Amino acid sequence: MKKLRAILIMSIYAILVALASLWMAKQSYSWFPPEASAESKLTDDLFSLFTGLGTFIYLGVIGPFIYSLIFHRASKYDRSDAPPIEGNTWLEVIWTATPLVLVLTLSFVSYRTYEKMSIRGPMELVHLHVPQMIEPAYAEPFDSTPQQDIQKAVETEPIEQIDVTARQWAWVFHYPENDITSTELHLPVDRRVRFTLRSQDVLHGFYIPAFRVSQYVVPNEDINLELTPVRTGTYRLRDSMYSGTYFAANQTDVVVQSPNDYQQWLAAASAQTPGSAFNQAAYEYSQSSEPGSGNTKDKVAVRGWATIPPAPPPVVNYAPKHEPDSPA
Amino acid sequence: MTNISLEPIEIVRGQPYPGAPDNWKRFFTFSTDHKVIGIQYIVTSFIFFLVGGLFAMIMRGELITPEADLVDRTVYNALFTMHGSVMLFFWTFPVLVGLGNYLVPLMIGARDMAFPRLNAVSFWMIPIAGILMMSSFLIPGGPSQSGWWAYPPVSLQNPTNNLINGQVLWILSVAISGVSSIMGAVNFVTTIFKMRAPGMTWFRTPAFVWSVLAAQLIQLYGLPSLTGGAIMLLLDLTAGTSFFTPERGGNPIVYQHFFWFYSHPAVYVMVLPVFGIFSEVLPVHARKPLFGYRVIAVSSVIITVISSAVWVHHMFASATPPWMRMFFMVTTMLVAVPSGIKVFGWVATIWGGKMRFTTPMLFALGGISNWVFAGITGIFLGSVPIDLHVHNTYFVVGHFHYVLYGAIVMGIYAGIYHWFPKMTGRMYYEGLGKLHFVLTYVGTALIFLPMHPLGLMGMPRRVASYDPEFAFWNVVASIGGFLLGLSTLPFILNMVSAWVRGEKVGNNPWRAYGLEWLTSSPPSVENYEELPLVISGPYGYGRSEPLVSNVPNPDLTEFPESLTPQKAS
Amino acid sequence: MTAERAISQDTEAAVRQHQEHDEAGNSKFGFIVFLLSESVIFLSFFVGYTIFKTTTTDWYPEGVTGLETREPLINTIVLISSSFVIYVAERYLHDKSFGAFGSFC
Ligand code: HEM
Ligand SMILES: [Cu+2]
Ligand SMILES: [Cu+2]
Repeated sequence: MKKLRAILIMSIYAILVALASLWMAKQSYSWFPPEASAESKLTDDLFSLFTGLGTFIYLGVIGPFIYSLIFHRASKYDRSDAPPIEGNTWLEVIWTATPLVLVLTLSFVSYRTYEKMSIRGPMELVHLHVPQMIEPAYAEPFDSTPQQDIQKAVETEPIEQIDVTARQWAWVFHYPENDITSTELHLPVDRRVRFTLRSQDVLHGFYIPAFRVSQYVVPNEDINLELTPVRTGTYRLRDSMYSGTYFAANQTDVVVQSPNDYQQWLAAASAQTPGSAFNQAAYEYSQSSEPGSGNTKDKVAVRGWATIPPAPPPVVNYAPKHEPDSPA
Repeated sequence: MTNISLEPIEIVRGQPYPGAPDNWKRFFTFSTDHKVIGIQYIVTSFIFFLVGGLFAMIMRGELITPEADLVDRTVYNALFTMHGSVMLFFWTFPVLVGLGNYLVPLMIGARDMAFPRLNAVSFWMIPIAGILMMSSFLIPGGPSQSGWWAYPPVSLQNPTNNLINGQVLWILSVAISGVSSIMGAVNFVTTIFKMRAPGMTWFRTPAFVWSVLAAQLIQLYGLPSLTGGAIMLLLDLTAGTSFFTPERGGNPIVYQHFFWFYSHPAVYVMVLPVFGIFSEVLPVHARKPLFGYRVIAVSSVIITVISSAVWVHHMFASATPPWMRMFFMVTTMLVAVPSGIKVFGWVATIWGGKMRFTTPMLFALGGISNWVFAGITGIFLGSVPIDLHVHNTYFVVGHFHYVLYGAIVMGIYAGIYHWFPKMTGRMYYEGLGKLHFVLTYVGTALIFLPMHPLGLMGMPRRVASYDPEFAFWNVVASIGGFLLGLSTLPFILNMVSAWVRGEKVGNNPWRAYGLEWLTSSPPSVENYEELPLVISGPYGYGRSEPLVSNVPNPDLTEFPESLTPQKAS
Repeated sequence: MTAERAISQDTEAAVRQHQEHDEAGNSKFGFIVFLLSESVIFLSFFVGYTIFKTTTTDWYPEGVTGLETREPLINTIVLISSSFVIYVAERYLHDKSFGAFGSFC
């Protein structure tokens, strides 16, 4: 009878925890920036799965923990010890095997997601295009639209090549086909884009949160990265690898446009003669009263130390007119 | 609540008792007593904890507003570099070495560490290295501004062109603290292997000792890699070599491997002893043996082994080829298994126990709950696709502060409160302790939880300024940060006043089972009148079985009482 | 329990003797541990050097054209052989044969 009640309570708790986990898994999508690339959908699905399982485990552990805190306290004058239970082999085997199976499963699912994104990344020499998409009968754990998006993008148009150069502290984007440069990243929607990342000085991080992928930019090394923007709008590109004094200001906007707008932008940009772009780091550095000898900025309450001077503002065909501002 | 019913026992003092307050001058000497050295470590590192905390307060002040307006960007960058370095090298590592120093010989029934003089030398290197690092605030160019990773090429850029610059001092300071850690590790490993009391077999050795052993083994194999990398970095910086200098053909990524080969396992150097503290504190205050003691003990060593092969998870977004990403993803996730075993064991320990919520128990329980959360976000980070989004964002900062503050600092507090009566012979003030706990727990949640959504939204770490969309959670985090700053005040007040005027308690106020509780409080110089002869395993709560066959100190009459508790009340 | 106690008390004296006076054993154990750990530093140097040398087209520092091997080789031989001499000398010192000690020192 007592046992039956315990089983009943445990089952009810398990159901409640499962419901809460489902709810959290759904909720998790709202914690991210918009899903602006096909890859971001894959990441968000994976994250949702982790959130669900993570919540389940967290509540599964914390529930009994709190129950114990409430009900297994010593009464005030009870100086006796609790029963000397030292272990239970079966329990111990179960709670070793379960996490083992779980993390191996999570690794496998993560591996599948990574494959599907096929973002290339460093040192991937074999360019088989999205091979694992040719597995039609395979029951996919998630909905397969992102893959279809990627596949469609790859099939319909050639991959759009863009060279990215990072330096202290500016981003320059070069479009080799039209030979134009810009400090704002413009991308066509629904096309596969291949970035070739280069650094002129230190490590930087190429990170567009709306695309869910970051990749270090390493001096002396060309790193390829492929992505598929699927949503028009303005997003933010941030340096994600600490790169020195003006690291936090090394950001710019990413504009994903319809193919028409994109072509127009390319045409307009190539018509412009290159000019010096606005650069936050160079601007702040020039504001300093005693350049080079300490301060980078006059407004602050606590003054600073000498810094590596920023590279001169990049000379590009296209630069946003004013100080880049952040999208919501 | 605490059952301090025992009237203070008058002890005839044949030998000096190092923890006693009238003896404070000993702490400024080159003492070779492991108990003096332990307290020296704890107090010194706590001062550095306050220094590092002060840096954090200024950083949180800067981050209340999106613009970089409180301090100059170079100052902010120097502050986070110094915050991270001080907190790791001069607070977390040394304070745990201090606790280990104090407790390990007592727990294994030894008279001291294996190499007492080496022990003293190891300690005195810590303040020297710490002061060296802090002195970089006074030189032209200021302290290192390359983060606690000191990744080249940024760490090799030397704006002042001086030979003595912040980065050089940083490397020297870290190297000295590394030498100190290696000497400490040799000492611990030798002590634990060779000096356990007669009868103390491996499976009669307390879980804390196991965890210290596991942690110190990591120091031995890991730290040399960091030292080697740091020396090459120093050569690049000063002697014109180019191991990591890209302009001259070097490869900065190689440094990352050297750095993380140590610095990932290093996180286990910090967390393992805290796991040990949890394993010691819970049974005492729940009056129940540690559930699955053998598995918990062995899982520490398994962690030592696995953690040597996971370091690339800090470099998923670096120039890391896909096969490496996948391989290290699997190994990283495997660490969760031994960590999980411990958590389940702790929950099963308190289950059905007779708990008392003393301050050390509260901190231990709070620490465990935070660790469960941090372990789960750790699994998230181990997954390559997720990490590629959150790497170097505030999500990571939230994760490791949940470990480092939520679990480790809380566990350290638990340990300090728990063994405070042993170290001083006096009891801390329970009310102040509980206040301290509440402030710490709430502060931790307020500052570090919001960092997770911030990271998911895409806020990079190490930024002095940020886009306005991140403002809300940053204000919340700053408030939590100031609360944490505040939380140290009741602790300091508690420790100082209790040490001087706290209620005197007997040798075993918790009625705990363990060799350290068999001797006087504070223990005399050589710890035991007569070395204990161990005849049973640790955590014998609820069994009427003595721990040692010879009661080494005739004063300890309350110990047998705890073994026959039915008659006690 | 009483049996256990009897056994342990039997061995007690021997064990305790062993434990309290085994400083030489501790030193030896500790030193081996230390050497194992130190060797990892050199391992990391070798790794760093090998990677650097194999991946860089011209790995010499500026102004250096070739690797000098002769002098370092001689120095190394002197260094290593000196440690043997010192070791032998120390053995004689230990045996209190000062004449032989002097001839090695
Ligand atoms: C279940 C166990 C754990 C897993 C799976 C895990 C996983 C990870 C991963 C993958 C990262 C890298 C994230 C990134 O930089 O992109 C990370 C960062 C970090 N973790 Fe953990 N972790 C675990 C436990 C711990 C513990 C026990 C500690 C500390 C005692 C810790 C402290 C840190 C620190 C300090 C960092 C950041 C280092 C830095 O970037 O400065 N973690 N963790
Ligand atoms: Cu911090
Ligand atoms: Cu790690």
